Amino acid sequence: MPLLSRVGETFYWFGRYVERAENTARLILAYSNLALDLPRRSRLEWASMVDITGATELFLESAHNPTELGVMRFMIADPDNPGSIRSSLKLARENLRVTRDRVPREVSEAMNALYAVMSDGSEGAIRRTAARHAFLRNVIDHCQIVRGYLGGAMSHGLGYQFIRAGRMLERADMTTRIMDVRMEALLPDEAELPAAFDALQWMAVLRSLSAYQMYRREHHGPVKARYVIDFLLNEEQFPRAVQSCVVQTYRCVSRLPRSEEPLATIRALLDKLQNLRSSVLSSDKQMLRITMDDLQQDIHTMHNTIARTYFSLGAPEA
Amino acid sequence: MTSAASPFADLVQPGFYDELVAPAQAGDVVSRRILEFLRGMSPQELAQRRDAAEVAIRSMGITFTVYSEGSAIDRMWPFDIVPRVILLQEWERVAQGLKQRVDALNQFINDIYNDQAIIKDGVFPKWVLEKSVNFRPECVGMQPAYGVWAHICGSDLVRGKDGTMYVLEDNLRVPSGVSYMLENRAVMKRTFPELFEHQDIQPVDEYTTQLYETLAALSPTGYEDPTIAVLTPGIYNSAYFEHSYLAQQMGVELVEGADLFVDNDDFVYMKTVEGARRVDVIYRRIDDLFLDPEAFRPDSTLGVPGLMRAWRAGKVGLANAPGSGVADDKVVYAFVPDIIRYYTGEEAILPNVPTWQCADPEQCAYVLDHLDEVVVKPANESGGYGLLIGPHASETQRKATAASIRKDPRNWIAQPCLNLSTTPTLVSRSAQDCYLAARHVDLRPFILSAQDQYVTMGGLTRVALREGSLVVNSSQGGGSKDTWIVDAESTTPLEGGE
Repeated sequence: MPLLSRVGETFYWFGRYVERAENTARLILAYSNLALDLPRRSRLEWASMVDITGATELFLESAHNPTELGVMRFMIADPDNPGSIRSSLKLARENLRVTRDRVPREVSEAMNALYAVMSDGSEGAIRRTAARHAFLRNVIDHCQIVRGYLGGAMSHGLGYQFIRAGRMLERADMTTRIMDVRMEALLPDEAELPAAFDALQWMAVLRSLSAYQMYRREHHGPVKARYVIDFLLNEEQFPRAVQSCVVQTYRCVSRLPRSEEPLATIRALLDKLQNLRSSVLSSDKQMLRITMDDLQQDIHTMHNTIARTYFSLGAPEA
Repeated sequence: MTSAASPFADLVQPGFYDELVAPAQAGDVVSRRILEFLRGMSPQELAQRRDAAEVAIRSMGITFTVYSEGSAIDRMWPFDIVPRVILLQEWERVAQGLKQRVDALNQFINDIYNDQAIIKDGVFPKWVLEKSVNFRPECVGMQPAYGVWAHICGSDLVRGKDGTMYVLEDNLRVPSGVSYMLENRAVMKRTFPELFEHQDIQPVDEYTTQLYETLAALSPTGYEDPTIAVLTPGIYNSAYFEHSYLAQQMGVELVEGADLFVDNDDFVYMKTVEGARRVDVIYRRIDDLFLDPEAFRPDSTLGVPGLMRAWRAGKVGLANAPGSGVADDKVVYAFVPDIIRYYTGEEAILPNVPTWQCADPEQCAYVLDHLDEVVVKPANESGGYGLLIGPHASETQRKATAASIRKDPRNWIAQPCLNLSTTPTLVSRSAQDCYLAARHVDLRPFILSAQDQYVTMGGLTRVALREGSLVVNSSQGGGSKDTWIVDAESTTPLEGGE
């Protein structure tokens, strides 16, 4: 049976939104933990977390203050922020509604349970640091349950490939954004930090991607920027490394029809990733930022190519 | 047979026919067995079965959508666990009557859009057509396959005080409810499996296969394996569950207007990830006026530009054909017995509810004199808008309606107040305590027509769950029941002999 373009697109965005909700939860979790590690005289610049998600303008226009409370409300529950956990899950649920005749019932039920976790817990998590950790872990766990049922109970046909491609693209994007998080960005300019905090910031980056333990198996000794960058960009074995996500996207797209153009775009990105020099990136902070911005552009191009090829088939011009 | 009049007296409302008690009292074994089975259950047991049915409905995801305050809410389908029973021997006659009726209506629609012989012969007045809001000039001259326009019809049947089954109305545009008929049976099998063991309850599952065959027969290309799609207005439509369900059960595509386009070759295509793919037959669940912005409402975003062009060129089959609604307005309804006689040469097997047409001065005078007794309906409004239930109306309401009738008598009809039949229904007193009481019901069977005709085994029984209420609509406190067509002749007799 053919797959309608509209339905394919719905699957793709469902994959992206669930992944986005999970990644946002991971990001907030990492930030909240980092706040606890900082010396008392330093203040965490909460609003820089908003910068990572690319929602700075929206945040400035909103009524929220750049305080911990304001940023938490914006990131967790603001219905006007399309990147908030709440908005992502709402959109995921709406996309699933359209395709519910094509996904196993367990997925819909898990999605409903995930949405309930968010509705029940978000207010407490915004106000109380103590409740926040459990809430965010709960959101991550339930995203994993949705993923589990998709992988284990849904036929791995075209629709499934679109869900996976969406998830991988979203994940690659978030990894590059989180790598952009550095203490300099998190703290006011005047703050001076002891050298130990250089390691601390990269540990926070690893933790927010569930990568710390896996990184440790590859690299012993002090956590070094160069190795972390290398690991998160090109560690093929680690599922949140950018290269691994892009390779997975390639595999999904290669199972779709008419895939020549999107595959060419993805191959170009893989070549670029392999040619990045982590030694340069770790010593030149400006260079790291530019490179990450550049990768985000490439991921966006990858998205556009997939959308153009599969989702926007129009009637021929009359 | 000993007197069975007394034991079920509490289940009957005086002055009304009861679907289960009346046959039981007349000696029918099937109805008696079901009544005694239900009577043998304690309030707690009944409550347990009710809860089991609710669990089944929840886990099967049977919902209907209520759209309010800008968002769609899925509500659980309200279901009553007591079945509505009709004997096969009676049903066969009803089914025959429905086939006769829909056949005549299809001949009528075809005639209206072509020769208009019925008007020329003076059987059907031209003014009715001129006033019809559902007549589509765009369809004049079309001759769809088999001369059939309304491929899927849902007719509403009600039973009066004396047990006579009447046709209350025909829905020839986009009738809904059949998915609930099918799901109700699935729920019942889970809830009362033991009742299925003792009698031959006719299966209903055949419907989706029959629907598929009906649609496939409309393929203009005559291919063995046509591409069929169900066209839905989208997830916010109250019947979206049904659109999705039918597409799934038939294994065909569920599409929205934006998924389709009509190319320069006049064929209809759907946009898939593999590219454009031709669609041969569309089961459209969108009203005529939204179907094609090129032909009808230009502001419609639900439809497909050029669809009428494709249909007229014979490149796509459309079910139901646009314009079918011309035969289901309330003034036309009054003429259906004449329509049946004209096209089939037979008298109607199923009677209409007696109807006064205010267009006729004598009948109009009678209606105006008896406004406190009759139900008055405007010809072309649906959803109960403009309806006057005489006995329940205030003097002011009656006066307003009388004025409207005098102003434009042709737009009005009236019918006697029907004593809608009842059937035992579960009423919850508390979480643990249920009892049976009489509630009013109607019945919507579905009739399929293409090269052959098919009538569902029973149909969707809708029940007014509130005491005394006659409103069976699910959005207004109505529920539904499984409908059993039971073969009394093959049923094992009651123990102890007759």
